[in-house]
Amino acid sequence: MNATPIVTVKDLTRDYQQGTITVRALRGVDLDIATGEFTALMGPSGSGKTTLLNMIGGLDEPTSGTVIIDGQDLNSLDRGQRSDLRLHRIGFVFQSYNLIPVLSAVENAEFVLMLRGLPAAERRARAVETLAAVGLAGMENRRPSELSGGQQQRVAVARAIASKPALVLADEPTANLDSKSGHELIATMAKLNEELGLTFVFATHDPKVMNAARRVVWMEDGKVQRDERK
Amino acid sequence: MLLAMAWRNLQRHGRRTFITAAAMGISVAFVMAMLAYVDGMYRKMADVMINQTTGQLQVAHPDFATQRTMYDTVPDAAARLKTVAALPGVRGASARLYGFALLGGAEQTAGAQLVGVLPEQELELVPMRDRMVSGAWLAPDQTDQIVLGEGLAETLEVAVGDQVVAVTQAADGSLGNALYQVVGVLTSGSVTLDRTGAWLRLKDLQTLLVLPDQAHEITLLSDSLDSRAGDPIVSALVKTVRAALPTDEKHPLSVRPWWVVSPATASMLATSDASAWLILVILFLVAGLGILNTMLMSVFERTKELGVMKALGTRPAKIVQLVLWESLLLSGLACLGGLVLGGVLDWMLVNWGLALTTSSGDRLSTGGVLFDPRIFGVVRADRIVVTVLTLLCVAVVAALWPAFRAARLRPVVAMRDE
Repeated sequence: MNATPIVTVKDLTRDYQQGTITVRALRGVDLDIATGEFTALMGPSGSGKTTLLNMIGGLDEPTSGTVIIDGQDLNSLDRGQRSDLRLHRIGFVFQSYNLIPVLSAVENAEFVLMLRGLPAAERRARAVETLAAVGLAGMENRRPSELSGGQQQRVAVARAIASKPALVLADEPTANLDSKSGHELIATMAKLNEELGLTFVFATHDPKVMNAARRVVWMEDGKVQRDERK
Repeated sequence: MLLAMAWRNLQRHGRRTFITAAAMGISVAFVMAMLAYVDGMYRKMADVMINQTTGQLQVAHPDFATQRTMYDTVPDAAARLKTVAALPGVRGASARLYGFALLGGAEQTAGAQLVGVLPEQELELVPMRDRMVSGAWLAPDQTDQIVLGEGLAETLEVAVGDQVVAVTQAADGSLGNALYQVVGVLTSGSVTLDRTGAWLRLKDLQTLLVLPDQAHEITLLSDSLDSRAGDPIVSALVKTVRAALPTDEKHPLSVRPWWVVSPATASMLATSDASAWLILVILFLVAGLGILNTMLMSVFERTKELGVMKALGTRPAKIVQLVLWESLLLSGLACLGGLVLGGVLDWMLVNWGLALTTSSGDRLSTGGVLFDPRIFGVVRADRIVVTVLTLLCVAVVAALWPAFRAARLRPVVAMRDE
């Protein structure tokens, strides 16, 4: 395993204003994630794991502290640059799949490649290959509405990894799946981690993900409580 | 892929897309039909008020337009007419002489404006034969014939075959009088002329007024079908005619385009054009609001989806592009439908026309000029191109706000939208 940190989080805080009340979602989080790790951020609802994931993904801005992705301090980037960083370095898998409903499975998988400007033939070939890798060969032309929840989440994984990002962030990827689909999805991602060396970070409270993860970061009240490596 | 996404997004709400596109398409069709109708009316007005009245350009004594005295004539009219009629770019040319006389029938008398014309050449400018209510137009080789305006014939209580006597003061101070046979009664297109106009051969009037080989105006038509003041073809012909007709102090001549001869006509025609564009602007403003509403709804409904796209790294410019594509496709669809419907309406207007009558069934008149009740549409390609381009521009402008709103979404906030 390569020990170079792809994610470095230093003293990260995030406050939200709800009316007159300030809610502290993160209270000084420090975390390093190395390239190739398969990490689960575990904790109850409201523990700050999704907020932390959003900060790492550059989707949200910290109140204080630093997030460094692949050597780039997100605080030094404007919105457009953060958008480019997400496009080129990070893949996302969301809880509720969030596929683009008007695109077929293969078009969803190649969406990020299109944004990157890859030629149509090349991105199509890579998207088909990626869909096969997540077990969806033959379902390329189906629209999300024609796929089961598990299949949709596999398409989301294909979309996240088709561009070979340095880091894949997955927020509760199994939350909307039945047990079997959840197991299959985790197995697929674990395989991709092993075979391709992709770095995965999950925000989850699913024990199945925790069992599969080689590192579990326990969070509570916006802080890291425990950091366990298997 | 963005184009495909835009197209499919429109299909997501097929009914809404159809209703918006139909409303816009109907706007396009009505604008097309209205412009064809206005252009038809415009051409008819121009035909009556320019071609048939002043001509597109006039050769006259410089003072005739303002003074209208009998003595302000164009001498050697026949030779000058021959010269200008042979110039390139001249579609029609005729000479006219005007005079006033007291006309008397068997029972009644009335003042009349006499118009001396060259019967055949006048037909190149004015479709006199179409205007005959009874009888026939002047024969070029028959002397002492007269054609009366409908109102004048009624006043004089004469009909075709009757005789009228004209009494006037001639240019040499003598009392001119002559007997003419009424060969026709016409409706001239001018309220005033219908009541007072009487047409006779140029030579007959020259004899009556003792103005041999003189005319008050030589009236010309060019190849131009344009009726806008400043028309370059007419302007160029004015220069050509000036060069071909040398003038001197003793016989001054002015060569003037119609918009100088009759600024009121120019102003009236310009107003017609402006009103057409005003209606176009109002219709497209409504269409623009329709697009704005549709695109705003579309963006509101897809807030989460657009947030996901931004989270995946879609640059704001791409989001703007997507929304603009949707708007352009929607209006493109509307344009296609509008062109088909507008084409049908235009075809009907061109071939069948539309009758313009007052509630009492009378013909409409503008500035004392009567119009034929049926206006036939004139379809101009440039108008259609402008209509379509205007709608597409309206579509882009109307979609800008929703597009920028979508582009400014913060992914983490947008993705929370349900």
